[in-house]
Amino acid sequence: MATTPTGMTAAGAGRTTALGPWGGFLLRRLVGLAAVAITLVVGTFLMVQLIPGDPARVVAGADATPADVERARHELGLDQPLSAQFGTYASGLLRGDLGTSFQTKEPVAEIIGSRLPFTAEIAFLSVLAVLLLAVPIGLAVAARGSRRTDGAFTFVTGLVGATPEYIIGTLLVLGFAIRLGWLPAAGAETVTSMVLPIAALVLPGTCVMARIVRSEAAHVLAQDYMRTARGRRLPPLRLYARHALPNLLTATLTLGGLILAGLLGGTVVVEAVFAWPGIGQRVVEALLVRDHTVIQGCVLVLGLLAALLNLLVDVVLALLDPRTLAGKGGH
Amino acid sequence: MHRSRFLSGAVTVAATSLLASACTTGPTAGPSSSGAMSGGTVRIGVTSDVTSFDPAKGAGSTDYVMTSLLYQPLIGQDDGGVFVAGLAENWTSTPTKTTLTLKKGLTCSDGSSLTASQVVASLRRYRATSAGALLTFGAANAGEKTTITGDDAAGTVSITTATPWGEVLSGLAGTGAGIICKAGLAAGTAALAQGAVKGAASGPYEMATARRGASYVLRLRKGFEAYPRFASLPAGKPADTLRIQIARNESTLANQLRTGALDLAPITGTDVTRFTGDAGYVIRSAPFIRNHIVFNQRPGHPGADPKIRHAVAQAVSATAFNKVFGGAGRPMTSYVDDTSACVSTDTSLLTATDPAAAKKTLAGVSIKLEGSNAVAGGAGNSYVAEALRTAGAEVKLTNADNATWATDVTANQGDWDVTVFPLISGLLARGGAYFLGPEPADGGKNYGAVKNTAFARYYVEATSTTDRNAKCAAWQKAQEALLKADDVIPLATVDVHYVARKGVSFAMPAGSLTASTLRVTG
Repeated sequence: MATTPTGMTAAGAGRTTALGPWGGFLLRRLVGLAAVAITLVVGTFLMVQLIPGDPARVVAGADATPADVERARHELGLDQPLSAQFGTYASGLLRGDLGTSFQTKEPVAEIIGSRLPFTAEIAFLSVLAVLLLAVPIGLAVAARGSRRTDGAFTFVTGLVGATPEYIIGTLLVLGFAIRLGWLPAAGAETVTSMVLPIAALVLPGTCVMARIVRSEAAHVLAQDYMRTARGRRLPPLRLYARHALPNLLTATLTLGGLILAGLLGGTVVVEAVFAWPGIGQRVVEALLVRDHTVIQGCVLVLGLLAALLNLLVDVVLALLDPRTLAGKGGH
Repeated sequence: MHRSRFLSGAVTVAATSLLASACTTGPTAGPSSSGAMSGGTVRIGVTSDVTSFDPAKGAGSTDYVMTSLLYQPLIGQDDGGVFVAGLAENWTSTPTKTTLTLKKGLTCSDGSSLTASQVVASLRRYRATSAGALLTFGAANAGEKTTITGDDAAGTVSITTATPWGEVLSGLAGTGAGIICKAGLAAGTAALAQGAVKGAASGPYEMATARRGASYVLRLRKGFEAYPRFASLPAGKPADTLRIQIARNESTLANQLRTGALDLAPITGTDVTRFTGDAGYVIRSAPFIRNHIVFNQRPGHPGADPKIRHAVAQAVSATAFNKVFGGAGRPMTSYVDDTSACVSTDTSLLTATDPAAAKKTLAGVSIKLEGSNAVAGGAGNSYVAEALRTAGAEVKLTNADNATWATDVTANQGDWDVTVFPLISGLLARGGAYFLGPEPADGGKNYGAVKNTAFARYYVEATSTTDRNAKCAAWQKAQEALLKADDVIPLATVDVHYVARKGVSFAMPAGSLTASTLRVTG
């Protein structure tokens, strides 16, 4: 669900009043965002220190002598005390500098800039497709109200939704790339290269989302106002689009935002199956070679993106349902 | 096919400045494209990205492929350790002096002449910056104890070492000693590492486009003639364009080969069976990792006791180890495989597998086994652990990732008794450097604290001579000393299978693919 502030103080409530409901809402969200950012900066820095293995040894290479390793450690700044390393990292962030890769010597901002668009591309398109497919399917199944349809829907969505993405991806490659030869098996060279990775993400995502939409829709359709609307013999499109759909959006958008945030950092498996050069793959590569700066930079940016997406969902929900402006318990 | 990446703008919040560079403008490479056979383009799949384009800093297989195409070594090393011409057309070598004569008319990728002085500058940089240079010039000849001079008029380069060292030519044939042209040397280490230096290449190809993490396009340099003259160079002509594509997953590489999106890919796992017996593909295999058991022989560790080492050797079977990887590798008779020059193939030097005998010594012995999980998730380590448990030992197995394993074992910062060492190099001198000299804490590489004076003596003898017969005789004695003491227990190789579509050919001198020998034959 969308984030909501907890434990508003009297002073907080006062500010809300002075700033108006939207001012207070945005202030709370921005303060929360700042807290998330600070936590991420400190957390990512400390997190990489806990990973076993010596980055200097990896950088120095298999043939390196201990002197080579120590030279690499000095060049990477890893011979400094932890507090000094954090100071360098934090001051770099304030200048917009995410550092340089231990391994490839590329600026981390460049790495993120080149990889994130690939991941964002399939993540955004996947979520869009999930929303466009899941909402009508879920709504249609709920509106039909047939036990047989319901049973078939539950079976199919349960089966596909529980199937891991790498299995779906592999089956798609076998069918559409190897057997039929319609689509590329992997790579990111053409527009058609996107089809199979997106399909691998959309199929389980749609099933999960459609089940939630169906459940929510069944609840909404049983409400008195919907019975009244039906009694007025409104056309089906108007009935569902105008009266049912807005009441489904809260759950749908919240879940959609969470799925998108998850996909931005979590398409690693699909990226591996389809050789999609996204950021998830890059983080895994960095983890394997203890490239601390790349891990820190990628996790920080992905974390901030997730927080921003949550904020965006909260704003959209507040626009749709102003009762949420007051936060938890403010209805 | 050109296209702009839809939705790129949506993430400008996070990464505005470099978004444009992520746009794809590459050529079509769909399932129906005919690749090598139609346009002189060979598409090579690799499972990792380049970590450094600097030949002196190469650390992974893709680094070696890339730098061998961009930076040509002075000589090559063929089957049986025979040296062949590269940028140098002939050479003389004694234990203290090597002189190489460059081919006439050598050029760099910017068209400028490649002179002896520039070669000297490149080799001096290699000596100063590459960890591998220590084995090229000898540990006793580090720094200024190796003198590198050149004569532009005569086109000669001379290398003089203060103490005798017979591995200079072998070292110069490695990709790490690839020659960097003046533009690359002037640009500095960081620029070289990122591969963006125009005019730096001395090899057959130069970089055309680079999309980190996805693909690289290399173009053949017109007029380049200094290809290494291996005995088994395939017919055909070099590809005009090489497209190197990255897919971390071997099944993905196999899918791309199957659908015609790749022409050549290395596969180490079972996906190779998808091409076995298919007339449309050629499979050639080469040792990739040479596995052997090494002990921590410091006091207090079980491996300090020769009886325990012998029992461990009795408990394991190289043939069974090979089966763990599908039987596609080859059991070894030394710490390198049988394609290596001067390797011992005398099986009588090996301890015979005898689990029953091993049980008498190993019953109740506590052994901490730590290995790398880089190959097949550490399946080989699991086999060794089970073999030792069957022989009655109490084994604690740690399957660590490479970085952790290297820190714990080769830097000896962890608590370990036994390891399965995955040696990449097929050279006796390089692999043998781990069994003599100081320990890591004292600046050496002897991570197991092996004290085998006979091995050390014959190692020095083998690496101090340039006479091939004398070298092999000394190597035989060195390996005998090591194997008889059970300081090393040979297991088996994990092979890499190069799967190529018909119409693409390549040479594998000294048992490994040399990318500059790729030829389009169809």
